[in-house]
Amino acid sequence: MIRLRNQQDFAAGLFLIVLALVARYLAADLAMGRLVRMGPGYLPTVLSWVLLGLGALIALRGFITNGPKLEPWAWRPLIALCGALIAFALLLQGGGLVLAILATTAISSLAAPGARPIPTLLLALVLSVMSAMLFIWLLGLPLLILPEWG
Amino acid sequence: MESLISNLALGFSVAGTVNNLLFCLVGALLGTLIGVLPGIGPLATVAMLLPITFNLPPEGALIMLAGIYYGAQYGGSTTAILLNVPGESSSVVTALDGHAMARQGRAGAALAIAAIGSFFAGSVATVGIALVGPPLASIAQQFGAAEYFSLMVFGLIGAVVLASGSVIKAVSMIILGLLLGLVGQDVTSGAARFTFGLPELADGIGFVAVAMGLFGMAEIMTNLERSARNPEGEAKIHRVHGLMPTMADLKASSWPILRGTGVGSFLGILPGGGSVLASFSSYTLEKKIAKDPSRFGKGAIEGVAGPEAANNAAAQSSFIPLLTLGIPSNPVMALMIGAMTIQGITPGPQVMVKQPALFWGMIASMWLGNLMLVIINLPLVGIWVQLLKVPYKFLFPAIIIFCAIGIYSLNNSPVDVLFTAMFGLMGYLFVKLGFEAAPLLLGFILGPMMEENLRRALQISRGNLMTFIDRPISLGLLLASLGLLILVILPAVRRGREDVFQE
Repeated sequence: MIRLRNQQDFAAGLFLIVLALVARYLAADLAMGRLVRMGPGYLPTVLSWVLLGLGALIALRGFITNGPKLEPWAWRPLIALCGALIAFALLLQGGGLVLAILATTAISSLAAPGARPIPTLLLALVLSVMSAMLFIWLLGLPLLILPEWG
Repeated sequence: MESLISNLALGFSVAGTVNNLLFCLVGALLGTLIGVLPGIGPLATVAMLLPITFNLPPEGALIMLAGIYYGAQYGGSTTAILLNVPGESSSVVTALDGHAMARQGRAGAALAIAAIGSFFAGSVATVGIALVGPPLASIAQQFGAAEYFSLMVFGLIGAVVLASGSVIKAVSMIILGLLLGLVGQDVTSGAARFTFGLPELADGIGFVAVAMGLFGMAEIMTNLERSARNPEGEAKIHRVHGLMPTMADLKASSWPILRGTGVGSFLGILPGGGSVLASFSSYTLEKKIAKDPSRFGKGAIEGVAGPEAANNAAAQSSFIPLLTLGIPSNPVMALMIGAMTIQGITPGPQVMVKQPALFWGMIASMWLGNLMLVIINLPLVGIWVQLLKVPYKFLFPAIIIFCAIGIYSLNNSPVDVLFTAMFGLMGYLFVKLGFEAAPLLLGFILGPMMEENLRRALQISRGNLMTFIDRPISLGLLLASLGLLILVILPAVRRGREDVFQE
């Protein structure tokens, strides 16, 4: 009977297969050209086929070798850190450095359990002052400190 | 010999200017500052600090980056010795005996020997680069597109062979990296590839976003995950008193340092080689030839001296393929290529000929950087120890904010920050799926160069693939790649390789 013995490899293989198919699909419209004069689509197409093959091999290994089970994901740091970066990207240009840092610190500190509001706020203030001094006054980056009203 | 001295003199005149000395010092200090943080290795450190160098003149930027790299490596050893938390795999070895020494109250001696060994190895390797560089570059100048393509294949295969973990997974990561490297406008035809119509992607994915996401962010995520699993993991920091090693320590270390320097200098040049392999090999060697191998792991000073010398020598000599051939032998060097490209320098043999001041200045600054680490950093160890006492929950938001500002400031583009988040997610996924991200970075950097050389070679040969086999140097490189692949698939070698990475 066929049994999945290496969950990690199986998932890894599937992941590659999906990526390869996406790449293959996106490269479909690009001109292939010929070996002597390769078009923009030549290498992407070849590479996505190779990736597809490798993905299939790795997925297959999931049935023939023993390996680790899939580990559970730590969603908390993952979401908090990505969220913090997204907040930073959205806030910086309109809201200025201080607001962006406030939001980024608050969201990212949720990544570890036991964050309390007052220390987090203090940290955000310290970081704002430090970043403003370092990046705006010392390095002269063209960043807003606070939002421009009106 | 004469040209060696005049070249080095030119180098020191460039590296010795007040500005460049300052860049070197700031780099070494910043590198140590970040590198000393538990769980953050040299690769992540260099990735995170890259943006601050981009506004500097080319010499200054590269000198500072090299300083950051050495500093980070040194900082990693400090953490390994004092906390038993190696920042990356190359200091795993240092942690074995270094931390044992710290528990016996000899942390100072371990730190001092690590610094002395590193400095000696760094000095030797610097002279090595100056000796080997020019002849290698003159060979490389005769390379055509076909040779370059084969050389890159060799470099990528080497990276796979010497990486730990599954070979087939590493190859997949390279292919994925090559594909990611092709994102953006095709240089020859102008066609947009994989851009989803986003103008931000027309110039390709920013390599800083890729590196910072895959290494910096993903590393912080896994660190947080680990500390959430064992909240009592706060390790005890050992006190450092008395930095001076005894005469007996110095005597016991001198041969291991010499051997480590040799092993490291050699392994650093190989594609895929570098500090990790060097320190593991040196440790294994010292243990094998020791009169009493059982002392190892219990505070044998040879187990600190050898590997530390080896990893610094390798860090240094891995600049040889970068500076002479334009090929990165490990991911940190791939970052250096990216940094050079942003500065408008095309890495390769022509750097030495066209920009001798830059080339030799960088080499001289490596030696100065190592000297600075010994005379400035060692007395500062108390400050770094204080830094280790700052709780991680305050450190990581700060790191994230500095990274975000750095990334943003490259192109004043918030989209780059979003990409960093995306690659952070991807890096975490890789960890969970058992992929290593380092080969991806090599592929990503080499992708556009490989495509260009492949196209050119085939255009010259009128579409004849035999061109790669007809040209002797190209054939040699391809055969060497094939040989490496066969070696790694053979079970005997595979077993030996696993031993090395498991110890």
